[in-house]
Amino acid sequence: MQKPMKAALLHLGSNMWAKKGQPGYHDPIDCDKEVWIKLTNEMARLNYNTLLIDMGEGVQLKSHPELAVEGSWTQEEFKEELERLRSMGITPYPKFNFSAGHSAWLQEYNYMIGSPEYDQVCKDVIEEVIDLFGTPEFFHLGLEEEDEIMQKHYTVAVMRTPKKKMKDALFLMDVCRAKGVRPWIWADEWTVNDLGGEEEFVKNIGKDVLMSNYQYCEVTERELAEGKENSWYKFYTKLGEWGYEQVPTESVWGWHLNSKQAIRYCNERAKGIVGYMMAPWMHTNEDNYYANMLALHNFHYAWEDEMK
Amino acid sequence: MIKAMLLHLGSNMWRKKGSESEKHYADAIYRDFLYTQKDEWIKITNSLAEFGFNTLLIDMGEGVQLKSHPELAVEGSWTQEEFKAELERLRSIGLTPIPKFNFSCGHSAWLKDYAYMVGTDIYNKVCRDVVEETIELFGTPEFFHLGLEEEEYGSQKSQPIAITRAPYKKREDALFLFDVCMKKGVRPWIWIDPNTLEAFGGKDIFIETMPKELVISNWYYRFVSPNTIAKGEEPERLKLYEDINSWGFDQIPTSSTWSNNLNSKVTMQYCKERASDSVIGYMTAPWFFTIERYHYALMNDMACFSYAWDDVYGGDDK
Repeated sequence: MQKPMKAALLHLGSNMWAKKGQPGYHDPIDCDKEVWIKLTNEMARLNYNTLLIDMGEGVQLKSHPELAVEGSWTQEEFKEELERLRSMGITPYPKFNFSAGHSAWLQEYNYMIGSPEYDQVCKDVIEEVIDLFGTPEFFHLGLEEEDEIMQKHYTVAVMRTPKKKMKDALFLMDVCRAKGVRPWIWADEWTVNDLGGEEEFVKNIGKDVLMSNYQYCEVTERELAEGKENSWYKFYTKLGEWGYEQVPTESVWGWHLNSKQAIRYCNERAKGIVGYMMAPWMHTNEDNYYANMLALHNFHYAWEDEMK
Repeated sequence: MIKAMLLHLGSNMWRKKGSESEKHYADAIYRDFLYTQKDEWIKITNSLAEFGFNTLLIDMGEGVQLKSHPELAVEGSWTQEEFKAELERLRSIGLTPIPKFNFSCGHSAWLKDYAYMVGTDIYNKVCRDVVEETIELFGTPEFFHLGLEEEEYGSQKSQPIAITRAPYKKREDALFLFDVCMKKGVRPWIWIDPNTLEAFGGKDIFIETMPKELVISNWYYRFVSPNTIAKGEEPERLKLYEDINSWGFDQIPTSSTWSNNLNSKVTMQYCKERASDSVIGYMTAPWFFTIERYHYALMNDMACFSYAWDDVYGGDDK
């Protein structure tokens, strides 16, 4: 990978947060293909070179057809789409979120964390998707927001001890590595704490793992000048100092200048930057068309301003 | 019910001529030329009509050449003929245009050097001239938005010169402007929020002294969860909508996607339940200039507001 990654995350699957049976769970799929095409075409026009596809229940898997919902794309349909994306200069990467708080797409398996059956399903999904993508360079495993606070509205919340979470994370990463693929995870302060804290994290998580910290809030010039930016911002610097490659992730979710501020911050203060990503966190449907377009454009303008 | 969007024709609100840019919002600098792009203006206003908006609040500033004060124009300010033609076009597509000039000491960069003359007779005359001429230009609109928010020192501290008024002076100057409007048969309309109320001298004196023809727009742009509201822990700024409901003024709650896409929905749900006696409509204010770069920011704001309207009011918004 040579050019900096100019990436966006788009939702193909949407069943990340609300588990089956709760409001917000989608069956049929909540991805409108026409909107998907418009957004990805716009990405190509704006010279994005990477698309992180939040897969979830978006594609029918041969190893686990039970994970599909009505409207999940067939593998033939999806392979065609991968080719179309590549023909436009966009490299697609897969993401499945294996956080206990963000894996509603796993349906009942989401409640089986800790069982051999759960581990087998995770392995099957990763291995099949790596083949589907033709051995991509990266596979994003998610793994953030697993704490009690983030799951307090769920009917059943599943939290792992740091030791268990680290063990499971390393297992997933090894599945990727065995197929020649670099694992990629969310790496914010809380997630690192969930994995046992900074020391354990650096000791156990290999330097081949690509990191994405994410901070969506504003940081003012005054805060920067006084060294008072919040610890989540400072985490970009830490990840670089620890020797990891990173793709800082921004959004319009919290603050419209977030991309510009974060890109500038990281360019000035963080090492190991291999690119940046925009995550709008809006499902790919007609209602969210303008929200997604705003995110793509907002990030693009920030990139133009800060990556000269 | 009013379904409105605020759109910038003028952009010289925040940074006075000669000020450095605010890095917080680096685009909000003073410009000697009109920043609004007409093509973008047309696209956005056409989309507003398609989304079923019925009102456009035009943040005028330096956007139109004024006969009474041609010195307030910049290069590219629309001529009155051009603007009148646009007013007709807006009306023909179902949008009622309403003027806004912000007379807050912190937001009146469009007044150029007059912005430094607050408290003088010449300042009062200029303000009167602008309001009266604009009322004529719009053909006696129902409302005239006068701004008047964010005048406290905190909002102006990055300006080379910050001007604040004592509460009694602010009330006096506001009542003067209201009077200019009301004498021409137009209802004055202003921003109100906890800081602005304090700048007026506090809630009690505001209620006691301000005319009940006045329309007020509180504005709060963040997301608040239903749980937080159910527990009665909503922020003071959101609760203000409910408080205003008992004051005797009509209000037009103003939301934005400035901080969160769901703000319009939060605002409408809250006000429908707790402020329906006084709400005569809602407005969204994207606070992005009318240029191509911000096309999707403006469209997103419009869409979020419109979808919120459909969700909260469905068909029962008349």
